[in-house]
Amino acid sequence: MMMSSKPTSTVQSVVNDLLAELHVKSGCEKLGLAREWLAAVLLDVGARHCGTLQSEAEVRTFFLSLRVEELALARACAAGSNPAWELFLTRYREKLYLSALRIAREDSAARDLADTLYADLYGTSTRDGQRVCKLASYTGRGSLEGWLRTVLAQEYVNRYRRTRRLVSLEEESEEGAQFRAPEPEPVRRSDDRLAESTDEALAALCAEDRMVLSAYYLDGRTLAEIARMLGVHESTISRKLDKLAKSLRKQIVAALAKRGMSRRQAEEALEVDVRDLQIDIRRSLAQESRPPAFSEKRAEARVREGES
Amino acid sequence: MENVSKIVRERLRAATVAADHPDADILTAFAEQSLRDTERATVLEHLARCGECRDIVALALPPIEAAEAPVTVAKRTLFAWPVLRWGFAVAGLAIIASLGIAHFQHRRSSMVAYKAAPPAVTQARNEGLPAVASPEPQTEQDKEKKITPSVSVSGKAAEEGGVSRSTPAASPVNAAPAAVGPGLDRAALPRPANQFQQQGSNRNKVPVPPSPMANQEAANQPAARIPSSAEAVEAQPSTAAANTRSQALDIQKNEGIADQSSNYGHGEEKVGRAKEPTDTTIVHMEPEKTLAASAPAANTQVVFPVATARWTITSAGGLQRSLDRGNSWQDVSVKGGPVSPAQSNFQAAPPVSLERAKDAGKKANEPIVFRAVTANGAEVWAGGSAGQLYHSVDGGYHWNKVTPSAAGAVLTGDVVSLEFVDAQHGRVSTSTSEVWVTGDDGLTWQKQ
Repeated sequence: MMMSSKPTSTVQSVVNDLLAELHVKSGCEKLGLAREWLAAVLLDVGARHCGTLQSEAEVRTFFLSLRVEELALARACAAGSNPAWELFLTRYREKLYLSALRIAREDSAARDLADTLYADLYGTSTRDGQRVCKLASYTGRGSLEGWLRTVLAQEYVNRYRRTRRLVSLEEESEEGAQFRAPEPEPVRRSDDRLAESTDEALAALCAEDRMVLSAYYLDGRTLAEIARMLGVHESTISRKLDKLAKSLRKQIVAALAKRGMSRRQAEEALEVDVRDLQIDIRRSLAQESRPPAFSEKRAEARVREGES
Repeated sequence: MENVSKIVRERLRAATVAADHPDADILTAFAEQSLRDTERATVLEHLARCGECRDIVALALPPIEAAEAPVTVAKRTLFAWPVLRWGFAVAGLAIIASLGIAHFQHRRSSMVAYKAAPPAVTQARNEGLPAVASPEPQTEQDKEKKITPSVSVSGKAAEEGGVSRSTPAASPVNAAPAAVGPGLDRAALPRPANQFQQQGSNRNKVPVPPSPMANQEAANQPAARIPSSAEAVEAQPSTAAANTRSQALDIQKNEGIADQSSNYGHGEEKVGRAKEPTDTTIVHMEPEKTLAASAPAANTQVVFPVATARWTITSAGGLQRSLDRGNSWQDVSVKGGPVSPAQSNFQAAPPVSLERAKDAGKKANEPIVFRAVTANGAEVWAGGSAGQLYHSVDGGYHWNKVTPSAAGAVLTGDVVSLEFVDAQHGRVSTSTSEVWVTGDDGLTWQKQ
């Protein structure tokens, strides 16, 4: 109790301190929103995100980094302010449909997706008799536009991805059935040591490396996409993946050796595994060894030149 | 791209968790790189394990055009950083250069002022250089030497005299009385106003621009000559003489204020200097004063960037001057110098006779409604109601009242427009549809 009361009071004092500045920054006046109202919103955001912050300076930085203008707009919409809704729709209606289209890649699905989001945003659903507006959960950590895209993506993943996954799994089984080797029994049996070693090697990696590996090898994301997700350059991801693949192999072999496997056996275990995965590799090669985006762009450019 | 073995994929997939997904806010902030490090690490850990959230982040990526658009736009705009950077560099150089030039000119003019033993140096005003006066006090010995009526001394003084030496080429106003006698010169305020006054006295005696002989005479007999000049004023009731006398009288009345402003701009020396009994050139315009002024003291001098001054008239008819290209305006009183708060810091009133103070006070009480002003460098003419016409040759620090008159007629109407094509030739239009022209800087006038 003592622990939790301290940050709360820090948040309170910082909010009081910064209220005037943030009120001006948020443009609340244009929407006719009082300082007290903004203070309540800020305290709510603080309660959600400032739990781990210790010093007052950190809390201060946190509040100053918030996108108060968009936060105020979103919360005003959630509160049912008409001018706020007008502003929101002028700013985001177009973008929202375009984002939906990019995510769903198909017009009717995009409209469906966007409409669902609008329903959520308007708060047509109710919980405990209270209108639930999704905009009330926006806290201004990122841009409102980005948040809307994320919410759309969440909706899309929740509603569409599952069905597509089912379909693709079926396709996969049909496609690869005649080539697929029978379940690799020996590997399965020796899996324990191999799996342990692999887990060990993976656990030694940092979260970002594992995320890059997963996004690339599991999700089939392109280098460019991964780079943008992490806010780094594409070539960084390319180098990182190369390095990771090599070092993982080395680490796994070393870990296997530690578990009593000779170097040759260890290599074999991985080799066998790879041979088992011939099909898989070919498939993934078809998908992954597309020329990396750099040459891809050049290829595209060449095509465009040819066209023009 | 090197492939990883299936086991790696398998184990990666096996590590998937499906709980505690970060909310849309956090994922957005993650993609926009605006999370704190600790939060980012948590989200990365989750993303490493959660395919759904990775998909969400990937799907929610902003369109590539949007991400790249600012870059391409920035490259094309004039305000792109490389352009700005050079712009700043050039601007910085320009500022430094102009400061350097200003400083150099200031130093040069100060050095000239110091070299010239007589107190005054007026730098070429038409070139936009500030008028500078020497703050150098004169020793008693020095004064005596210069007062001594000898040709060699006067020649030396003339050579040293900043006013005599530097102004002829610079200003048409000063060109005529270029060689002002050293005696006058030394005691004189080195400002153009004083030159003008001297000029007036010279003209009274010799209507044409004074010859070196006349100057020498003036130099050699400073005390005696001025009264004779005054006599000349009395004796010759010509238009020019009358004009000059009225100017001279006017100056007498303004003397108290003029004395004060002579200390303007000399903060570092003002106190000690102001307490010394000082006499100015104006003294020489007053016969009784001139006689009394046996040992004229040195004058402190000032720097006025008047050549570039701008002038305007307020709606209430007040005269205003700006020395900073119109950024700020100060009221200018034709009774004294410009009235500004900054100036009052530098003013230390020298002893002023009661009579003179009274005169100045009386004059200052009369309001003048100005209607026209024209300026050509430091040469300023201002005209207003009821034939009020004032002339300043030093950018408004000292004013002479001018009353155009010809053949018994006197300009009495309101001055509505002033045109001066150069320092000598000008025309004045009045509300009574009179047009007065002068070809000699206001000394004589013709009514048209």
